[in-house]
Amino acid sequence: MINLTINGKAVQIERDKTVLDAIRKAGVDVPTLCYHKDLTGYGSCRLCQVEVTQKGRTRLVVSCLYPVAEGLEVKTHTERVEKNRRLLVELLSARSPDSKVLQKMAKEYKIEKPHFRLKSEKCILCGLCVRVCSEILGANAIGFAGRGTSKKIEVPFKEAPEDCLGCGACTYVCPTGAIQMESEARKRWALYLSSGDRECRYSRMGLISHKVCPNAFQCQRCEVDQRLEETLGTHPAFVAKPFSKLQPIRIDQFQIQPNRYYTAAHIWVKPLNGKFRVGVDDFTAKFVGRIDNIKAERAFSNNKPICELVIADRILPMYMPFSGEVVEINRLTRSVPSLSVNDPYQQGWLFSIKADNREQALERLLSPLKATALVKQHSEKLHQRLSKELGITMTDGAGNLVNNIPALLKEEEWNTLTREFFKPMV
Amino acid sequence: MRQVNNVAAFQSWQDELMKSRNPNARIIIISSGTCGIANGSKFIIEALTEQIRKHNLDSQVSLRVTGCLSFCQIEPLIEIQPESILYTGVKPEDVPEIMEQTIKNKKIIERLLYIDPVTGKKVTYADEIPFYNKQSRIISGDNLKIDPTKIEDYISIGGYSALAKALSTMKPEAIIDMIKKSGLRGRGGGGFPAGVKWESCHKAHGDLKYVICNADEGDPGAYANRGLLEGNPHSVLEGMIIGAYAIGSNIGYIYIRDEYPLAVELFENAIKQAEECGLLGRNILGSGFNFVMNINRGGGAFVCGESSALMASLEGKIGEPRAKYIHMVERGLYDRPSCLNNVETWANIPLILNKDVDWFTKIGTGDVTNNPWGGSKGTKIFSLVGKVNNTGLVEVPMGITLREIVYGIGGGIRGNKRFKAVQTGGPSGGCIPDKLLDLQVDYDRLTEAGSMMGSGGMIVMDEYGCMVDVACYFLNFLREESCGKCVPCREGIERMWEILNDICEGRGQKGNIELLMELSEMVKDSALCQLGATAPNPVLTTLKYFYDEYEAHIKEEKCPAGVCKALIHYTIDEVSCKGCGACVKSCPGEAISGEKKKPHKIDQERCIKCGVCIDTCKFESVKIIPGRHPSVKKELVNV
Ligand SMILES: Cc1cc2nc3c(=O)[nH]c(=O)nc-3n(C[C@H](O)[C@H](O)[C@H](O)COP(=O)(O)O)c2cc1C
Repeated sequence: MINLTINGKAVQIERDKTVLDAIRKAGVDVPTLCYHKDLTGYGSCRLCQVEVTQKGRTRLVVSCLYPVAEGLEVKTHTERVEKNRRLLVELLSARSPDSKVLQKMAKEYKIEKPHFRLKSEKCILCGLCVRVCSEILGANAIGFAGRGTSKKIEVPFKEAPEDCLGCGACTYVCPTGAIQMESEARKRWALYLSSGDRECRYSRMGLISHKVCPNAFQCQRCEVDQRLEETLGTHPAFVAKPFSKLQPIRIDQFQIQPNRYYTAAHIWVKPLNGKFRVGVDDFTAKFVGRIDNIKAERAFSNNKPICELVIADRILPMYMPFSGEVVEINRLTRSVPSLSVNDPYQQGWLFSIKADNREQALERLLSPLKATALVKQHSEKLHQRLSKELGITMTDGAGNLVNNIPALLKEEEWNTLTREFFKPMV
Repeated sequence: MRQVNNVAAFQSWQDELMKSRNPNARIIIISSGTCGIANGSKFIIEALTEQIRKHNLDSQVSLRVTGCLSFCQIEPLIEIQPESILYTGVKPEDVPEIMEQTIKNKKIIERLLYIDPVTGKKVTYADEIPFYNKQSRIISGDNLKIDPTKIEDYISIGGYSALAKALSTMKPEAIIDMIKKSGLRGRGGGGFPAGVKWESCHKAHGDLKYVICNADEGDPGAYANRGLLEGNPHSVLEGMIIGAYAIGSNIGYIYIRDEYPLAVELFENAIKQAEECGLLGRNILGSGFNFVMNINRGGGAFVCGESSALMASLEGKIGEPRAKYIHMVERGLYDRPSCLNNVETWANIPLILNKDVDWFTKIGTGDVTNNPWGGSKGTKIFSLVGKVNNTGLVEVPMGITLREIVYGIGGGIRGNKRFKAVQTGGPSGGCIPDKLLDLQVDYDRLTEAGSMMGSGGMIVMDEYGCMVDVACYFLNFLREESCGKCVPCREGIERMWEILNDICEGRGQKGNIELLMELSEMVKDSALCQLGATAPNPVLTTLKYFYDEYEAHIKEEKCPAGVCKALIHYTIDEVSCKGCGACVKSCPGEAISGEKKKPHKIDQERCIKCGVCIDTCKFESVKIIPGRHPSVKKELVNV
């Protein structure tokens, strides 16, 4: 727990919170426009700015992003802060004079008429809609386009986005009513979905089982829809959180990425432009701890390794469950082999390969779910072999796997273990 | 090219290459960076190659195509060695004569010599020209000595020996300590001590760290980084490899703006060559250290030069800055510890390692022995442009006065006009007036004056520059280049520009200056990144040093410098006008009339103040008068 003061009042709060969380906890009201508790902080409206003092140094920060720190003194309504806030509200009021939220704020700050020429933008570019669409839905159907004064919210290429679920979470979070959901639009977007299926927005989000819309997407008239929204007390997207299902899966010390295939010999495989991109999975990465050299072969099959990982004087041959050839070597891992260990799923990929028989290859790959089960099984076995049978302490103080397994094993033990976990399959 | 797998092999190769340099060799050097090429250097190279062949001089004369030699104004330029004869404004047609006269008969061609704008005298040798000999070209000077496409050239002047030394004899901590002690501060922005940044990044947790070179160079009119990348790419690369080794990073990026295709090409080539030689890639010089370099092209947004926006852009996201309460050295590119430095900062590294800390700290101001913030050390390359006689890239020791740059190196103001101000630090820098001409140029003095070092833009303005107009120009640039994320920057700068534009267009009102001040304070305080936080600088400095000019625009309704069209008018001087009718014919608005041989008149309603008549009149009879013509009414703003 962290101790800090808000306007002189002591507050205790968890380490990973922001100053805004602490301010709210203290029951103090500071205005915000771009903040939502379930979304990452963005810091664009600057209204939540406060003065913080630490070690005798005072500065202005935005509280929605500033991490709490021990002994921090926060002042939420100093003259300087209030002056800045007032001018910010004045600027926004001149941009969107018709917005109800801003009219209310302007009134609180006793702004009768902004000093600037009035515009008539509805959108204040707070980015809540963009964030909810990417962070909660994982859809990324809308984003920012342009910059400076011509910046705006757009759909990609100004066309009805295929990735839009029609869920309406963007309209729900919009503070100014700039984004409106049209049932027509929802219908049209639905047609763009590959299935062409008139699937209900909630079933599309995975909140309820498959349901076809009986109402031409007039959600206000739909009983199921309205009932759900009432009982949840928030937009259903925040409950369903479809994007969280696309996050990496943790199994003990290991991670499995959901958006790719795996082999039983701990290689990940991702179809890409008619080829496959491959790399080692996190189990391999943690098992070897570092790589000094990667010896690649051109042609490989299920009994001829695709490459050998060299770790000091240990060698680990990696096998694929099908035959094919390597068509490209990642130039990053060629120069920096340990990249495959430090960033196995992204920059540390190994090769682009072509399978001799693509269909067959695809059949022999494991889904992330199956890979998860396999890693679980192997994790337990590894524990069994190392700690119980060989008496090796497997984890460090922080619970991470030790990163020098190859060095801890005798050559024979190494060979047995690697055969067990990375053996070629038939 | 040779492959070297250890330090000894490298050193023997370097010895060979150094010995092969003959100081008495006859070499024709031609400046062929982007500016040289634009001025036709390629045609001259063609002509020179042909002539050398024709005269059968292949064995006696060689051609060296270099990057930019900094003196843009006299391009295309060639320098003939060993004497260092400098020819300017060379055309392909001049080449046969150069061969015949200078190369074969050792005669100087007077016509091609540089004429000093101050003395009016012709100068034969490069080192006799004040533009060159008043500089301290410790970094940019090497451009002359090498062909940037050849790694051998770079190695032959001592290149990569700093890397060899670092890898074979120095611990990372020792290198960091050395850079800290050198007092080297970032050349691209805020002047943060490089060694301190490296140390934090070195200490940050993580197996994967990045070093990044900022070659976005988005300031209008600045091209010092381009000059280095095109002239000596290996020096930047060497600095980065050393930095990566010190920090513990194995992956590097260089973010080059797409408008620099030649720099991209040359840097790509440099990476390829260094890899082939064993100076980059896996197990560099047998040290066990691996480092791989990537090139990324920036799309040309000014804000993408800002560190967090640059990293977002590298990740393929939109170039928006983010709050840096957690520093980039801890969580930068892909949320991993990242060390970003400017091109010129990186290029300083090999120099410091080779020449040592004492040598470096002798150049510059202050004392950095115990505090890297204690002064400004080394040199800085400025893009000197505007109304000076000599424009180009100038490398000067920190602490040189503005006067020495403008009058000594720059040769003073063009056309014998009066100096008015110099704008430093790029669009969000400030304007420094003549009373501060003796200001010592370093990080802290420039900041105190309300401006900044930035990445080294230096725009000189004469008495015909209107300061309100200048502020308006920069705010317009910033308004368009703001990423638009945070409200103070997006809305605040736009409104500041709106007010300035109103003032320039004759709609100034009481209260404008106060509102500008208020907005400036708020934007400085509240903006998310340094683009916004520094954007008020042009306004604040012009208000501070040229307040009268604002008042003249608003209260007296005139533009004293004669720039803002709404606040001036044109008249024809009845005494000197000969009634020749030249202006009548040239006026695009048909605003001038009059009988032949009688003084002409301007119809104020039709006059668009384009200035064509001024250029046409041989008798200087057309005058710009500050203030509206009595017949023109003030336009009102409706807020
Ligand atoms: C709007 C903006 C634009 C910038 N553009 C550049 C640039 O073009 N080149 C550069 O090196 N630094 C630029 N900077 C500074 C960088 O953010 C950063 O401080 C610098 O690259 C760090 O390197 P240095 O310490 O070596 O100077 C810019 C900063 C801002 C706020």
